Amino acid sequence: MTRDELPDSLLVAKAKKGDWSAFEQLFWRYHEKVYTFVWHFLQSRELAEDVTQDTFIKAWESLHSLKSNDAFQAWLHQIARRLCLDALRKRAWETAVSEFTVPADQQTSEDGEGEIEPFLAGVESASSLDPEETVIDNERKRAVHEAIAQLSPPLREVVVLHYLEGLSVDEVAKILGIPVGTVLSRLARAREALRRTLARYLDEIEEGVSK
Amino acid sequence: MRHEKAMQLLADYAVGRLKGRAKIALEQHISECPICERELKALQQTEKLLRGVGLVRPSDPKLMLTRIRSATTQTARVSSRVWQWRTFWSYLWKPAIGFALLALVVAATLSIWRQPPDHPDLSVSYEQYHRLVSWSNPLGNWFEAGLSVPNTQP
Repeated sequence: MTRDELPDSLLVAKAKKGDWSAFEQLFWRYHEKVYTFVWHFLQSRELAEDVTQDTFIKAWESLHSLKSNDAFQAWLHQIARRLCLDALRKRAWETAVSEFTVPADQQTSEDGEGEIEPFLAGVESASSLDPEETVIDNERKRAVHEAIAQLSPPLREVVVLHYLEGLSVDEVAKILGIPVGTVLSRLARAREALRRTLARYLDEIEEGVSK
Repeated sequence: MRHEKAMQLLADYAVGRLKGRAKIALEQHISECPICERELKALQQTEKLLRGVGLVRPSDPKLMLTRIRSATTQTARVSSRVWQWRTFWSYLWKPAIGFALLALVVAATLSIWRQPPDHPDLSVSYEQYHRLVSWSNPLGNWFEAGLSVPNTQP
């Protein structure tokens, strides 16, 4: 069994004893997932990088408080979510202060809030596609991200955790601290909203399946 | 499998997170239930479309890791000390509370058991009985106050 294949529980146990390389392995395993979650939460690339970084720092510092080593991923997402909420509160406060002190015509978006283009730059591109297909693929990706961004925050976070990161309903419920039934109902509502926005792309998929 | 239960498990099944007996039972139910079959199809379409956009990479993960390393190294000395104390107390808080309670019980028992005797001779005052200097005139008796040594010469 190579180090890449070691289960989370073993890597966490090693990291708890101060093994940095085990923690590094966990970082490479989860940094994209955490970053994706945080980006969708904050809608800002720069802020998302800072929060992702802080999430792993916090995780290393408080690793001893993790009781079940198997629950590392859920625990990591809980830390990320708390830090996102802190960042949002801070941003809301700063916005309120700047609105109060800076005239509206001088205000600029410094953190790239709502940027979809830079976000797409970070999405893994399918190298096997020809240029035309790549354009279509990017257009579809942009539409999906815009549709996710339009969802309300509670719906957005369940969609990101369940569909983009592939977490089970139980795991999502644990991370968000809500009942399983609530996760299911939010997923159903989110799916309805996405179906309305992305009807065209869903039809394409259906056609692809039926062919 | 009941229909309500199957509807609950469809979301996990669509993202490939259902395993073992539950998966087999659900597949059997889906093959017999057109409602669940239709719902699963819709779920799988959504999953395919959303999963297709993939995860997002930070601009420079190696740099991020380096920063994490440096931040954790800087705080390592302090945090390890805190951690040691935390670990120390996490093991010792129960015995410490037990010991404190035991000490309280022993002190209470001793205080009840060794009650001071009642005032035996009412003709002398409490202060005289206990050989204490009167509070009203602490320097009235220098010898009692310890400010004078009695002359023991014959």
